[in-house]
Amino acid sequence: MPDQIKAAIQEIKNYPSAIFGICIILSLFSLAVYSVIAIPYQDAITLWRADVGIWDRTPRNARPAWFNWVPGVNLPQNISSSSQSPQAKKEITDLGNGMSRIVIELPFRFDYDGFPKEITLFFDAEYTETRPWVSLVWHTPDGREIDIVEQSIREQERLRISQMEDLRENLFGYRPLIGLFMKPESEPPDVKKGEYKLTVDGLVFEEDAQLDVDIVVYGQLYGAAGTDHRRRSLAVALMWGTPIALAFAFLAAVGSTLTTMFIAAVGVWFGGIIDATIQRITEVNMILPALPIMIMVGILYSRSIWVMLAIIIILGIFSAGIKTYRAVFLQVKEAPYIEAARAYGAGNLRILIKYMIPKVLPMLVPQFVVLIPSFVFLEATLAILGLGDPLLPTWGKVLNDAHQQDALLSGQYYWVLLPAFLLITTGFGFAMVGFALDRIFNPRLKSY
Amino acid sequence: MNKVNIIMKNNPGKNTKVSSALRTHGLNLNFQTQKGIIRAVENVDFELKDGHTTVILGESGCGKSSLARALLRLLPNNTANYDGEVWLGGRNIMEFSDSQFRTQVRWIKISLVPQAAMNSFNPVTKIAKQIAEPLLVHGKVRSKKEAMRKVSEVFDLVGVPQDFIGRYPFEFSGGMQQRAAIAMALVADPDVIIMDEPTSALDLLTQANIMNTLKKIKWETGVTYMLITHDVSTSSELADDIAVMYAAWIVERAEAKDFFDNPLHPYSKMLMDSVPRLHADKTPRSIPGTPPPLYEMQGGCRFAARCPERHNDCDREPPVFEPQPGRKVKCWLYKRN
Amino acid sequence: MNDNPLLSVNNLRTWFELRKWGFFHAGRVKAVDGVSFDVEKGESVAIVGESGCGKSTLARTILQLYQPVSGAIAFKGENISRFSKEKLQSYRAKTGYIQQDPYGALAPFMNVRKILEEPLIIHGVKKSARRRRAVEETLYELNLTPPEEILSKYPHMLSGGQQQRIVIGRARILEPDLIVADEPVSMLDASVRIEILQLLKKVQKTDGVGLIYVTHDLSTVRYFSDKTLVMYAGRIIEQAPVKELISNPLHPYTKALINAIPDPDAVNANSLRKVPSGEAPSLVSPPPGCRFHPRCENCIEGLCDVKLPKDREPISGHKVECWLYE
Repeated sequence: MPDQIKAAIQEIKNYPSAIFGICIILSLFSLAVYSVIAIPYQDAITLWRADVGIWDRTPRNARPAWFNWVPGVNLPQNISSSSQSPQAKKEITDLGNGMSRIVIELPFRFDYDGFPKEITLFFDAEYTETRPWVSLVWHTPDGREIDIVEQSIREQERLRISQMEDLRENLFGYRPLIGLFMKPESEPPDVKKGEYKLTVDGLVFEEDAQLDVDIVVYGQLYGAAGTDHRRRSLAVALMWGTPIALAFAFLAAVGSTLTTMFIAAVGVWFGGIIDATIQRITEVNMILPALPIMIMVGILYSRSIWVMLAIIIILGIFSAGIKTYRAVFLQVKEAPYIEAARAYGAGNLRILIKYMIPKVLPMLVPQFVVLIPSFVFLEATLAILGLGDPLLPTWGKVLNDAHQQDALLSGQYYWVLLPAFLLITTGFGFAMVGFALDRIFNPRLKSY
Repeated sequence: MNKVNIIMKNNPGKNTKVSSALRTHGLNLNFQTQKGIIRAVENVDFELKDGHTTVILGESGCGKSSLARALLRLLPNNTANYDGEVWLGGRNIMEFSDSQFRTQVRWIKISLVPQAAMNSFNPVTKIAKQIAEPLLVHGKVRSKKEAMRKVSEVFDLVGVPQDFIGRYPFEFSGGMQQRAAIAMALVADPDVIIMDEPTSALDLLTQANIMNTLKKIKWETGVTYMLITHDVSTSSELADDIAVMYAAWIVERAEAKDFFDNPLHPYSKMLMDSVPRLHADKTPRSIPGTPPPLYEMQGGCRFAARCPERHNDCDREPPVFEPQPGRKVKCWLYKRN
Repeated sequence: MNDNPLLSVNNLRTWFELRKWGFFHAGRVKAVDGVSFDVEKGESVAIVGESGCGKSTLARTILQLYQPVSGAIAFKGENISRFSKEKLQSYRAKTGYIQQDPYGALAPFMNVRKILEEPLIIHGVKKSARRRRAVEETLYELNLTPPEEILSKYPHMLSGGQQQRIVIGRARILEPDLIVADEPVSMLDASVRIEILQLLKKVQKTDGVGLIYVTHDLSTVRYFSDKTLVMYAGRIIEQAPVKELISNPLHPYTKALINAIPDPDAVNANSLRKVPSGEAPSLVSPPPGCRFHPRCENCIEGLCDVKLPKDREPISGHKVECWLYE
C-alpha cells in the first residue's frame, strides 16, 4: 500500500492539471491555517456577530481596497484621524474657575477622485455634570473655513457630519458629504484634493474634564474584500470560511465514504440478513430527499453547522455509495486470494480489514477527493437557503447576505464574486487532483 | 487408436506445389507503453500456404496474438510502429487505406475466431443476426433473407443445430458459442481464417469435437487456417505447417511432420520436450528461465539466455538459415560452413 | 488411530440451492453427489474431470470452504464437521490450498513477505524473527532467490511461475499434512507447467504430505500422481493407479477422455478423432441412472438410463461405476 501511494505521488507529477490543483488546495489550506491563527475562533464569532461598536469605523457596502489598482480609478479609502495621534494638535489653555479651552486640530489628506461615504466624529469626553461645549470648523485646502456646528456634547457623542443637512446653504446647496470636499463652483462637483483640517474648539467646565475626538472619513473602499451592509469586513468571513468549508467537507466526506465502504464490506462479507438489512435501509434512505430533510431540521431544530454535518453523515452513510461499493466488494469477495485467506484460517474481521478494504481503497481515494468540493457546495447551498450556521462566518452566509441585500442589483459585484470565486476555485482544485488520481488508481481509464 | 478415417476430398496438404494464400515480409508491430516500446512483432516473414493450416506456436507474451492483430489491422491506440509487407492475392494490403482495408480485406478476405468467443457476442442480439451482420455490411447479399440462408448454411457446416438460429448468446453453451464464432468467421467465405486459441477455454471432449469440425471444414472448403496457440498437442490435430514464435521473432518454420519428429531450433526442441504426453512414457522437462519482456530486449539472439547450446555467435542476431529444403531456422547452429 | 487414512471422504454431497427472485426454491446444483475416497498419508491423488463436473467443489468442501449437505470427511479419523472452532482452525493449519489463478490468489496490495507471513501471524507465530526465518527458508526451497529481492516485490512484478511458487510456499509454510491443488498449472505457460508440477511433487515427497491434485489435464497426471479419480457430473466414476487407468480404462467416459487427448504428431491431422458428441449434463437435473448414458455408445437401454450403477472393483485396486462391469 505505501508502495502504491509512493507510485501515485510519483505519477501525479505527470499531470500538470493535478499539480495546479494541488497548488490550489495547498493555498486554500494555508489560508485556512493562517485565518485560524490570525483571528482566533472567539474573535471571529464576535466580529461576525457585529456587536455594538465593533464595526463603527468601517464604511457600509464598501468595495475592496484593491479596486484602486485598476488604472484610472482612485476612489477614497477609509481615513481616520485621532486627537491622540502624533499628527493632531491639541492645545489646552486653563481659563481659571476650573474651565479650560481645548483646541484640537485634525489634519488629513484627501487625494481621491471620489467623495467619501460618510463623515463621523467620535467624541470621548470626561466630565461629571456639565457637558463640554465645542465648535467645529472645516478647513479646506484652498483656505476656506466652514463653520459646521456649535453644540454641547455627551460622553460618547457621535456627530454625523454627513447628515447635517442644514450645512447645505454654506456648501453651494450640496449635501455636506459633497459640499465639504468639492471645488467651489465646479459643476458637476469635483473633488478638491489636498490637506484638509478640522478644528475642534472646545470648552470644558470642570477641573478634571477631558476631551478627545476622532474623525473618520468613510471611504468607498475598504480592506481586502470590502464590507457588507452591516459594515463588517468581508475579509473576516471569507478567511474564516476557508477552514470551516474545508473541515466541514473533509469530515462529511470521511463520514460518508469510509463508513459507507466499511458497511458495504460488512454487508457483502456476512451476507444474509445483515446484507439485506443494510440494503433495505439504503433503499429507504435513497428515497428520502436529503436537502428537504436538512431544511426541516434547520427550521425546526438547529441550524448549527455541526448538526448539519451529523445529518449529512448519517444520511450519507446509507447512500447510493453503498450500492456502488457493494458491487465492487461482491467481486472482491469472490477473489481467489480471499478464498485462500479463508483456507489458511483468516477470521472475518481480518478478511474485512486486511483483505477486502485495501483492495477497494484506491478506488475510494479519487472519489473522496472529488467529494470534498461537493460538500463545500452543499454547505454553501444550505447557507444560501438561509440555513447557514447562525454564528460562524461562511462563504455561503456571505452569499446569502449578498442575495438578501440585492448586491448584484446595486452593483456590488464583489460581494457575490469573491465568495463564488473561492467556492469555484475549491471545486476546481479538488476536481483536478481527483480526476488525476482517478486515472492513476484506476488505470483502465488511462489512454496511452 | 480409435480413429475414423474419412475420405479426404480436398486435402491440398498432399499436393506437391501449393501457392501461398498470404505472405508477409518484414512485418513489424510496436506499441508505446509507459515501460517503453514493446516490440510485439518484429521483422516477421512467413507464409500461409493455400488450403494449409499454419500453426503459430508460442508462449503467452511472445507476440502471437499481436501478429493476428497486425494481419487484421486491429491496432490499439498505442501503436507506435506498424510496417512491412503483407501480400494477399497478389497485392500488398499494407498499402491499403484504412477504409479500403475495412471494405476489401477484413472479414471478406481474412476473418478471425477470437480468443474467448463466449465474450465476443453482443448478449442482447440473436447470434444468427450477429453472424449475418458482415454479409449485410459488406453488401455480399441482397436481402436479409439471403443472409439468413447463408447463416443456416454455415451453421450446418460448423455443427450448430438449425433451431439455434433464433437464440440469444446466453442460450448457447461455451462449445456452441465457439462454433458460432467459427461460423461467423466463415460466413463471408474468406480466404484466410485466423484462429486465436480457439479451443483453449473449452473442455477436452468439446475441444476434440470442435477440432474434428475444423478438420471437416478444411477438407470440404479448402480454407486456409492460421491457428495461434500455445498447445502443441492440440495444434497437431490441424497443423500442416508450423511457425514457432519466441519474443516477437519467428524462430522456426517447418512442415508439421518434420517439426514434430525433429525440431531444429533449441527452443523448439525444449518446447517439444516440455509437452506432457499421455500415450508415451516420456517424462516432460521444463524450460528453465523466462522469456525476456518485450520492452527490454537486447541485441543478439533472444533465446540465448535460456539456450543450452549457446556459443559466441549468439551475441549477434541470427539470420534465417535453411538447413533443409522447406525448413527455416533463425539460429546460428545452422550456419553453413 | 494409526490405521486411519489421512483423509477419508465418505458419500459426500455438496449441493447448492438455486433461488428464484432470491426466495423461492428453484432447484439444487448437485455439484458433488455421493463421493467416497481415501487419501493415505503422503499419497498423491489426482482428481480428473472436465469443467463443471464438481471437482473444484469437492476440493473446496474438503477444505471446509463449503459445507456438505450430507456425508462425512474424516481427517486422521476425526470427522471434521464436528470440529470445534479451535480444532477447525488447527485443521486449516494442517491443510494447504493452491488455486488455479496464481495472480488472483495473491493479494495485489501485499508484498511477498506479507503474503507469506499472513498464515504464520494468523496461526500465532508471534516472534517476527521466527516468521522471517520461516519465510526465507520457504523461498530457498522454492528456488526464489535472492530472498531479499523477492520479499519486497508485489505480485504483479513476478512472472506467472514465480507467483505460483509463492502460492505453493504459502500453502506449505505451516507444514501441513494435506495440500489441495486445484488446477495449479492450467493458467501457466506450457514451459512453466512442468516446472511447477515438479516442484509440487518435490514438496509432496520431501514433506511427506498428502496431495490432492485436481485437474482436467490427464496428460500431466501421468507423471505426478499415484492414484487417479475420474469425476463426471458430480460422481467419481472410476479410480485406479494412474498407469493402470491410462493403459486400461474401464469406464466408457474415461476411454473417451483418453482418446480425445492427442500427443503431438503430424498424423493427427489426417483423420478425425472418435469423440462422444453432446455435452456434460446439467448438475441441476442430471439424467437418471448413469449420468454418462446419453453420450455413451455402450448404453444398455432399460438399465443404464434407469438405475445408478454401483461401485465395482473388477480388477484389484481399479474401481469403476458402470453397468458393463456388473
